[in-house]
Amino acid sequence: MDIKQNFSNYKWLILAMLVIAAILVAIGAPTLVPICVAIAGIVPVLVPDRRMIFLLIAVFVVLPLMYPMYLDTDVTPEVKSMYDAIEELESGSVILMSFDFDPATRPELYPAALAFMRHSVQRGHRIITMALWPLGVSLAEEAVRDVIIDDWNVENPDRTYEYGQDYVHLPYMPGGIVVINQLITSFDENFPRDIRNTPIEDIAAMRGVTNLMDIDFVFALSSGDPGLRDWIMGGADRANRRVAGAATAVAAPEFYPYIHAGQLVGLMGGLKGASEYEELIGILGTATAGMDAQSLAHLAIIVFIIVGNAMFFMDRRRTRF
Amino acid sequence: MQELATADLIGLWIAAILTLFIFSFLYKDNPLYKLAEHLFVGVSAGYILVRAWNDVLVPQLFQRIWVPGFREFTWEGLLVVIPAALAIMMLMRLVKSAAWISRWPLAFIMGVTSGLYLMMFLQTNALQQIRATMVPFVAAEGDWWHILTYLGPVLALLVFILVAMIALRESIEVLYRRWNILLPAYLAVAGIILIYVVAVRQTPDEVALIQNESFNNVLLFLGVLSGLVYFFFSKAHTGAFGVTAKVGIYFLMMAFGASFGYTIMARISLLIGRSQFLINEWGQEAIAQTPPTVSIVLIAALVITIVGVAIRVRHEPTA
Repeated sequence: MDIKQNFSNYKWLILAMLVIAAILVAIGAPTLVPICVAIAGIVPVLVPDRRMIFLLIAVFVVLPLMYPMYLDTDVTPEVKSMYDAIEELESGSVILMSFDFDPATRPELYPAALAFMRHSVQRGHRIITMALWPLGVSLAEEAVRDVIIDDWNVENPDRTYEYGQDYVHLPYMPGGIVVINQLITSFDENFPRDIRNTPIEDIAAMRGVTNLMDIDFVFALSSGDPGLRDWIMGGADRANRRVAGAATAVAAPEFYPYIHAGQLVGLMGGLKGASEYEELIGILGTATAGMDAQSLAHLAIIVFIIVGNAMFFMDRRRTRF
Repeated sequence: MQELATADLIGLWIAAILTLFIFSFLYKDNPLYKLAEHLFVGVSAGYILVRAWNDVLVPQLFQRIWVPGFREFTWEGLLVVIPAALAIMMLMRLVKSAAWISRWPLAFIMGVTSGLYLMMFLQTNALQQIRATMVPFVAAEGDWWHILTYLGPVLALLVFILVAMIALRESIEVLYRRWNILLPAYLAVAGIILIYVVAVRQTPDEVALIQNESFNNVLLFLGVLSGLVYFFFSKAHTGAFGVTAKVGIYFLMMAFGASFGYTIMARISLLIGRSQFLINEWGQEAIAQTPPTVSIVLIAALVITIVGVAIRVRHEPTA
């Protein structure tokens, strides 16, 4: 292994690491500076090819998770408006949570589900969960277990949330927009029974809920189609319900026009949106814990892009002359 | 720390091992990665099948036809025979000679979906969005402000044309010919900015709010206009039209940049999720609650397996 050659090939990487170290000092997070310097010296020797980028990103993600730096994050208006909408609802209002995602996007959307459900429970709202994606049902059950059974009911034994009384799980229903359309007419036609096979008319949590018009707020966790867009079309525009959602970061930019048009009350975009909601409800969870790693990884990628472009233009200039 | 049941403990270990198998793809494509990938696909398909059976077929089909004990019989319940027949027709795809039958339910699905989407999609994604772009350029409150807000652009356009005519001593036709078809649009934009600047100066109390909203609204107008011009291909993108289209490209590039940034955020979030799982649930809970000897043996076996496979595939081309 020609170590000297490796250092020569990866001088830009070394520069990038040093730039990141300088920025870390500037933003008041110097704990990772020695690691950046060490990476600048060691990685070109150990992994002398492009896979070192993977290794570096892994380092920048894992280390902040183990040694948090508690960098600040601001709450955006899209998340605040959703929070305010839930605050404005009277206690006991009916909230429909649609779990339209699967484990592939769990790291992004599950923290959002937990934060929103916590807030709804704090405010004393009734929760109905459903899923337009087959794997969403088990995620809804898991969220209820984490928020209500293991957490809320233990900490508030005098105000416990009971299945069937305060919340209910409706089963998976295929059809996307067709299902939403049918819900505008009738709930029990689509969902004759809950996931425990109890007839819908015998469930106290469903009292007074005959169709989508009886739902006070719709919150859709969406990682594709069917998902939030269908809820905007059916729930917001057709049924005139207040609809908000959490979307994967990849899909989030597509939903901003709907917020601007007033069709969407609010939006949690990816892990960042969930961390903002956690900050608003004052219970910091996994999303907030991941934001240091997110910020640092982004910083590394920005520096890589800048240095990579500089390298490209300098190389091109060199070959021209 | 929460005490884990044995089944949960085993589940966490399997999840951690499969996660590391998936990560091994970053080195090179290898049999461990393939194993984890195939397991994921198989388990997901099986789970979806069970969900579809329990959540859809049983309550929506069987329990509607055969109400438990045949106590209640309704002709209405028999209507579900129609979708059931369509579902069976769809399965005919599996029989080569009868595959054509599956086109009927497909046609039904396409017809229903198109019919539903036609109006709803138009309403949500076209009409409502067009309405949302019709915003006042000077976002201010008050009686006379309202008039100015909506009449402002029109007045500005007229004033600007008048000034231009006086200044250049030329007719509108000459200006139009010289400056291309988009002259009115340019004049309108210039007029809007003019009004916006003048208006802001006259309301010191609301300056910040008006500035922000007005700026956003003007930007929105420019973005929509130039973006639409870029996608208008019936006229060559030259002259003023070409400049506008180029501005449209810049707006589009900014949108792509935002999408790219969000995409990176999404991918990093997934890595964070898995890292949190490995550090917290596997590292701090599963390993801590597993007998040390078992943990050491399992981790050693895992390391030996991954390193062994890595050595075996090291000469194969990198993915």
